[in-house]
Amino acid sequence: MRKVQDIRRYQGFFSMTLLCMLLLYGPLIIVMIYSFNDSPSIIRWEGFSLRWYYEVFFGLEAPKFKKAAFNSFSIAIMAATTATIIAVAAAVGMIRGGQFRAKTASFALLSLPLMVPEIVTAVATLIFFSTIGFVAGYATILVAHIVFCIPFAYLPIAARLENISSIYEEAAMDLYASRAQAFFRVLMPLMLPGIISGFLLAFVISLDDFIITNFVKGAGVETLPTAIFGAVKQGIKPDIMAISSLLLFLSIVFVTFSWFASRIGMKHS
Amino acid sequence: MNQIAIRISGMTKYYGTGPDAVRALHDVSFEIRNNEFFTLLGPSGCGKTTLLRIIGGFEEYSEGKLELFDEEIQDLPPNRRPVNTVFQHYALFPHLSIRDNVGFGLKMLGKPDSEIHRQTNKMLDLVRLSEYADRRPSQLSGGQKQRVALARALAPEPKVLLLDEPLSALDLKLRQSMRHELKQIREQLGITFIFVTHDQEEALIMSDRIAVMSHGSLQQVGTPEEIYNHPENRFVADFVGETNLVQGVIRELCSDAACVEYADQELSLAIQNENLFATEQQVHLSIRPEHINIKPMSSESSNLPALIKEKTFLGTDIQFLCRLKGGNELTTRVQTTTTDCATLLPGDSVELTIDTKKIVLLGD
Repeated sequence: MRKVQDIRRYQGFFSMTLLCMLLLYGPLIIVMIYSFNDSPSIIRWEGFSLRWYYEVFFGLEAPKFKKAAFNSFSIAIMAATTATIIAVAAAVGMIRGGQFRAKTASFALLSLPLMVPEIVTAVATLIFFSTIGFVAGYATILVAHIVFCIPFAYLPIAARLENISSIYEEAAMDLYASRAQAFFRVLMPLMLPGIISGFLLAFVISLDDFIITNFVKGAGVETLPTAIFGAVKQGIKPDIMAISSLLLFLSIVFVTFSWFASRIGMKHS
Repeated sequence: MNQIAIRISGMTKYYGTGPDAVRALHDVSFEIRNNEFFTLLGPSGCGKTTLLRIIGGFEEYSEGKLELFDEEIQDLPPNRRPVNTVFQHYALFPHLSIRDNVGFGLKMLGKPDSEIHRQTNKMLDLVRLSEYADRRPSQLSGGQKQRVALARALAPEPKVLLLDEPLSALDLKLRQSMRHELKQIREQLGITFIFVTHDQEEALIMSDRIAVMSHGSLQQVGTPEEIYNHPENRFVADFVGETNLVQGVIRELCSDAACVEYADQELSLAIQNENLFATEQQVHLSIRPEHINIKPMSSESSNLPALIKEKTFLGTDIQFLCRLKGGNELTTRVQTTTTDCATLLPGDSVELTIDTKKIVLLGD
């Protein structure tokens, strides 16, 4: 017997859910299915095959995609690492800093990239780089990625830290740990699940960013999303579906890890 | 022998600044002797925990002086004070094993591994948790966590151990056995314990001396006997133990006694210092329930006649709430086994005898 207030008792709950799921995941599932299609056509099914995956890794355009993949992953690792370090510092400052002037303003500044339309950030970043005479390329992408990754790394880290009582740091300092030792030996290990979660989230966000990257990348440097976009402009081929499916799979893996990481030790603390 | 471990003088602490500032401590001064079990007792919000955190180095204070073995320590951060704390909610490091928790302080002091190992084992033995050394704090019960917290704070051999209501999260039985254990461990190690509690029973049982606090001010410092038998003011009389606080008027005064009128009776009471009182002064009397005897009314008595209003069975004792003629009420307690009062019921007429030697006269 379901409870009276159970949401499943609302009329039309089931059809509404179905519609939402279809709109959200239908296209993704179709792309995944057709990435295994043994046909150059993207709409006619001609049987199962892995030829487009082979094409991605060993085909004519493989070097281009491999280069883009290398750029994407190296930028994502560096951007996520840097953003995570900054986010940890920011979280400790915001949450352990007590009440300080401009605390609300600081928080707004931290989460601004989440609220400003990405195209605005993209244009502004491009103008900024050209004003200071920074040559567009790999470095500009990296800097831009670090910046917009910070709030994504910050949120899970801050959420974790808010649940850690400052009594642990006090206990550490009471037991002769210096401030730095209290941080690295007690606070950091307790924050670690949040830090891992924040890192993975920042990594995924960096990996699949398109708009900002496309503005600041300069000529000749591609990341996976811009490379895919470039390829699609010349007509959609099934190998694009294969790449997209791989990226999707990777994102799911990372987000799943991030979710599990944020829950480690939750029941104990 | 009677070295002073901690001397606090003129300690005043405000939270916040300006007109909104809240005064947490007001001109508190006292000394804690070496090797003493010293208790800070008071209701919540009286400043006892603030005082403990000041000694530990977690709070700053506005005015006053704090000395540890005749050395001012107010500028030392917590990690430079030879003082360790047992926190109210234990604050065991959840990511470390019990062994690493206990050894944490020694490791931070840079002791060699062999010494850390030896001392950790010794402490785990002391609290009888050796077989739990490799577990995590989350795998222990409340009482076990409490003992780990104690072992962890004792391992670096501090000169003074601070205990912030360490027993308040335990159930009654465990609390009683931990009281005993704490007392034994202190005697075994011979270091100064400063214990914070709001539980007056706990304070009386465990302490060598007690400081009673209220609203940020020190009310009285003394041994449990002094605090219980000779409270210096109404707050102490009321807070420590149960008592009847009643009003009377001084009719006559001489150097060591006062004649006080209470409930149409003249009581002759011993006083310590006549300068505190004046004739015709309104005073309070503190009369402990166990110092009032109760028996069925007999005709030829000159005692206080009363009516029983309520009867409460407390196990070893029976407590009666009695109403006197003038409307005053007194609580009296008698032992179940030594009395024929067990048959008395609410509504019965009785007579009360007050042991006047035990009455404490309070000026304010």
